[in-house]
Amino acid sequence: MTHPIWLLAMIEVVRAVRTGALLRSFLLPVLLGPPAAIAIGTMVSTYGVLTPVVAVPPDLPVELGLELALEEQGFTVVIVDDPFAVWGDDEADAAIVRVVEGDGLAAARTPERATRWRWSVWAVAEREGDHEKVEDAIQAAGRRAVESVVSAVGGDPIDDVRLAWVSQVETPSSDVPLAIVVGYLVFGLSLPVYYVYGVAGGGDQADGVTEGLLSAGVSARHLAASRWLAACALSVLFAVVLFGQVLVFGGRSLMVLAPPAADLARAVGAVALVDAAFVVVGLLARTSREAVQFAAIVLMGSGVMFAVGAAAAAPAWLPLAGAGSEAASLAAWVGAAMNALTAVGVVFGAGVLLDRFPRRLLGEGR
Amino acid sequence: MVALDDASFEVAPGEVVGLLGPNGAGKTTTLRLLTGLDRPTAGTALLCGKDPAVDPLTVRRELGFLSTTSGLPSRLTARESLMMFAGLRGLPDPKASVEEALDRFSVRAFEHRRTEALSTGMRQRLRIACAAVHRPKVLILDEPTAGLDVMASAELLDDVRTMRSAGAAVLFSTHVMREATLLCDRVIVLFRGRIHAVGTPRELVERTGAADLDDAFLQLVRG
Repeated sequence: MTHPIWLLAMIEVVRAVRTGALLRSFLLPVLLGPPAAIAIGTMVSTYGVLTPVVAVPPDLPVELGLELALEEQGFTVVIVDDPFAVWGDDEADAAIVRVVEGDGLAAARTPERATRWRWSVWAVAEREGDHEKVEDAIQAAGRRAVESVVSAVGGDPIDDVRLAWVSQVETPSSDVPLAIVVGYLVFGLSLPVYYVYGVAGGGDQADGVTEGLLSAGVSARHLAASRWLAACALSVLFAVVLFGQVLVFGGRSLMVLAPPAADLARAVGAVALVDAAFVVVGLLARTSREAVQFAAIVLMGSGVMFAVGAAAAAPAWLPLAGAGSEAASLAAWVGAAMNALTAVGVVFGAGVLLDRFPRRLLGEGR
Repeated sequence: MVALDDASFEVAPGEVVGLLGPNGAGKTTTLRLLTGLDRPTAGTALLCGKDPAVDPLTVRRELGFLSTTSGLPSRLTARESLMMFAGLRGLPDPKASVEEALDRFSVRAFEHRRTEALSTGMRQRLRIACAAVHRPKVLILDEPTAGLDVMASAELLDDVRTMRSAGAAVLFSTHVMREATLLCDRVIVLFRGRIHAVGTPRELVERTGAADLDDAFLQLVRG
């Protein structure tokens, strides 16, 4: 015999997934809108308008001509003592962090037998576009330099020299951790919405489904718990979809909006707090009605909390206001999304308290 | 405001008792008190010897309840709805019970249609099937034929007769006197929260000297 909580939770998930109106009017825009907007915005800001900055050390080999090659790739080259630190501080989009000079052709008895590198270049770049541009620049500079040497000794660059590698570009694999963070945030943000939807049962109160279940011998506690469980399951489903979208759209593209880690940590922490409150509510509520009322209070409280937090952090969270800044930071997006969804939650919560839950909006109550 | 006052009656196994009364007479309140969905301020209701106000979950296991406000979960098919209720009832073999209920309540013809796509008559048949999938000892039906056409009403009354013959105690509220005459072994006339008369339909007609139960009812409630 299946426990009523599991049975009802599974049914709630099935019903929610089958909800055409809910999917069309609410979930689909949420699922597709933000990733598409961010992806398009990132592409435009990265490739169309902005000049990426590359930090290079002052002691680049002159004969390599890497600065010129980078400029030809559209980079603004800045010479700094510690390119890696500059890149780490988000003041450059890419950095040449190390150049090692080897013996190269000078160590070979004949050009054909040259097996040692003349230069090894290490670079870092996060964005897909920058990564490719840096690599192209290093390849081009190396090829040009080697070609000139080969020509000087009377060889044919095309026949005598085969450039296997002239660069090593390191790109941090940011997709997975970012996707996890985004997935987690989405889970955290969607849980309250699903929770209110699930625990309130959409229009089930008006449709009499709740009464039908109660009169069928289901305890109110089991009913509330099952709907809470279904809300969690739907949120996980939602987050997994977003997780996949981030991976598909390219997490590294999103990282152009990367905020300081501390902001992200705060955002994640705030979401975790609200979710924890919802878990407690789910466990403590004795009836579905009580759970809805508690949830509404939590939502309103978190709404106030986020509003105060966002106002306090606004100067740091709004890089769009800065002249020449690339785009809003991810923290700003997260903050805005959080506040928007919390506002929705507050409206829903208030609606529940006022017994005017917008059932039709949720595709129920037909 | 007192919704129900000094109302006492019994329903025996295998008996259909009709609860008759105008709007606001206290019929629905009576039925909800019996299911434990509402609680009395005084007095006791017992179903199968148990008090629904004290132990509603135990009482509801023996009970099938169809109210005017209870609904079916949307976006599930008729079969899935039945499976859900069979599962929630904790039946030992829910699938077999569902198969049996599909035939017993003539739901088989639309078992794969979603509940929101069903006609009013189909929905009502399904609601009764869901309420009675576990073959309850007590069946409480609140105006089950409301909104149904003649054919659907007749089929539904047949369902009730089937359950009576299976030994269920059926309490049945209705506005339609003809239904009560056709179906009920006894009727209870309820008006302004009080019981005004109890007896078989024939007894009430004879007692009031009326032509039919409609007239008898009017005479009883008008004093």
